[in-house]
Amino acid sequence: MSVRADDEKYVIPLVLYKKRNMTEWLIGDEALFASENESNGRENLAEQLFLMYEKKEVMYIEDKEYSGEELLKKYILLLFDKIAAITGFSEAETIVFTAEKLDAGFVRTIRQIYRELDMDSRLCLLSHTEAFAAYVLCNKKELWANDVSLFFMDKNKFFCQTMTVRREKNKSTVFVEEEDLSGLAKYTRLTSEKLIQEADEAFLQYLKEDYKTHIVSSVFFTGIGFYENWCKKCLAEICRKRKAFKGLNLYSDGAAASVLLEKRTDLVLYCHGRTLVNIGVVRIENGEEKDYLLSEAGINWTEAEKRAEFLVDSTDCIKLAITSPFYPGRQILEISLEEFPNRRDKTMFLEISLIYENENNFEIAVEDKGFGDFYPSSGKIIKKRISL
Amino acid sequence: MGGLILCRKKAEVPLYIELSNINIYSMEELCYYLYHNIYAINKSFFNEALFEFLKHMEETALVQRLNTDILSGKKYISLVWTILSCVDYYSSAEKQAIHQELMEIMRRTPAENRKARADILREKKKYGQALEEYYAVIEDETLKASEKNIADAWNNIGVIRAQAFFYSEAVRCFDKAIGFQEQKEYMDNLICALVMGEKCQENETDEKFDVLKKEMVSKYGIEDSMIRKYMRVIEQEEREISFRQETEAFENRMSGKNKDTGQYKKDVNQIISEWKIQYREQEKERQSK
Repeated sequence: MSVRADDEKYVIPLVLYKKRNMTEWLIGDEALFASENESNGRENLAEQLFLMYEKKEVMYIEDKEYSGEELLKKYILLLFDKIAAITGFSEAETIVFTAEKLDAGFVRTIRQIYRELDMDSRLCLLSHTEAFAAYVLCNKKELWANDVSLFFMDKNKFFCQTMTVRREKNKSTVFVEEEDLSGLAKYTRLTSEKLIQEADEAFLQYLKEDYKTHIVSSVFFTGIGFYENWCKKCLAEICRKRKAFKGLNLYSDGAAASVLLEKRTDLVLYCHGRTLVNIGVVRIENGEEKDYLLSEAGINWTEAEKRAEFLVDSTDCIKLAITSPFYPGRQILEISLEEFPNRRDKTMFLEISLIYENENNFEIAVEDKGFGDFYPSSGKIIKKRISL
Repeated sequence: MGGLILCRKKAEVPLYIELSNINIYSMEELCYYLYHNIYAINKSFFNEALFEFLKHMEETALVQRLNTDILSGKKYISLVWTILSCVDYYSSAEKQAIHQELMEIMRRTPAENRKARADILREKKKYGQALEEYYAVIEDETLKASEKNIADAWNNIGVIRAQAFFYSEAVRCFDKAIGFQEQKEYMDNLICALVMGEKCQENETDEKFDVLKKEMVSKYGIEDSMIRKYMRVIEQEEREISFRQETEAFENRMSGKNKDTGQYKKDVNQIISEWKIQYREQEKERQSK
């Protein structure tokens, strides 16, 4: 839904403005407008909020210090107010946040803000890559009959993401791989006709080489770097046999589409933001060793948190089994129970928790829960951080 | 093979076992409790509270099996086995051993099982309930207790009385035990009770106890030398007891040294409360006889 009636404007700038000598804050275009029209307005304008948050920067507005996190929180709270005002709805079934990178800190911040909003809607967090994949996969099949490319350019980055679908009998596996193209062209260097042509030519050569290796059904362009049509030759090459799309709303549309994608049990997605491996706890069932899956590969890492309780029976260690859907074999990691009370005769419950920090790192926590009223818990917790 | 066993559900509202003053939160704990307290279990264990707990734990199949067992008149031991066999807590080998033990229990007479239950209650310091069970073994003819069962019951009642410093009654109980079966253990206990009873009279003479002592000495031909020998043994034991950790712990609780007044009063009050409970249970049982 557009933020302006009778218009197609879906992007709300990530800027925040404090009205001079007032307690009121504005976001988006209103913030930009106010900063341009109030005297010394730029001093009260906070831009690049996400970057400020990531780098833990602070800003002084009217002699008061604000952290990047505080400003980001304010922005999001005002954003929800704005959405409620535009749509007339204050509740939704699902709210999806998508960001270029998701880390544990960002996820915590968003969840905390969400709790402060006290809403009943389900909260989902996605990477931009997941949003892109969701957008494509929820579209007509002809768009992704073969590979799909996404080109993103802004002041800081220029990269290509390629989505490949490997079709099998009952399900399809979707991969998205990324390639950095900042060596080919930089948005900040497209300042003259000569430089633009050079960039266009370099990009074209890249595409020609690339299209020798695989078939691409459709191409997407997004980011402010493609707002102007600087790569005319490339577009001509792309459009010869492929569908091409351009717009700034890809990620937000994809975030919305991701809710539909969840229902597709025949698709498994592997990309930035998705877990890479299966992690299980080796347990005993009917005298045999089996893996109890704590986390599966190919799921959104922010939703991969899981806890399970086990009884310790004649063992001094916990075994974690890590397997990849792409490579054979099974890696076993052992966590010693030496520090726990010496009860190995099925009178000690252990709670094993798995929490991801991002798709490449997770933490396993093992906690002694005692054995009911028979044996109290020692309170001991062992934590182990694992990098994949 | 060792390893981890995946746990079943945990209950938010536990099953409270009054006998042991324990809450059970899981099926694993229930199995553990049943096996380690098998002699303390009787028909009353399989009550509404247990079935509510099992339903809450979503053990529908188990509830149905237990209902079937109860309707078909199976003994409570069979019900215990039904639970233990349905829950994946004990291994196959352990279950086999447990099954054999349960069969052994089923082969025992009701009197033997009640006596075993009484022994467990005594171990758990539930003296009032233990006495009830022992007297049932002695008095309930339907249990068909053997002379050995009755003798053991009287002996153990005597032990409980002696622990509560009721030495005259303890002596009478040991005397009755010997009346059913002459066992060295019962005689040892009787003589010890006589010795302890006399020691307790150091400040105050109890004529009735003196009469009782003379009666027992005459009845069993207990010589002075034997009494002196037991006296020495008891004194040695008292010395050893004073060195034991539990004595030290008890003395620490009773001592006000290095303790603030509030904590000291709290400790002493707790000990007195514990004694009161034990005394009331025993007194209640004594008066009912």
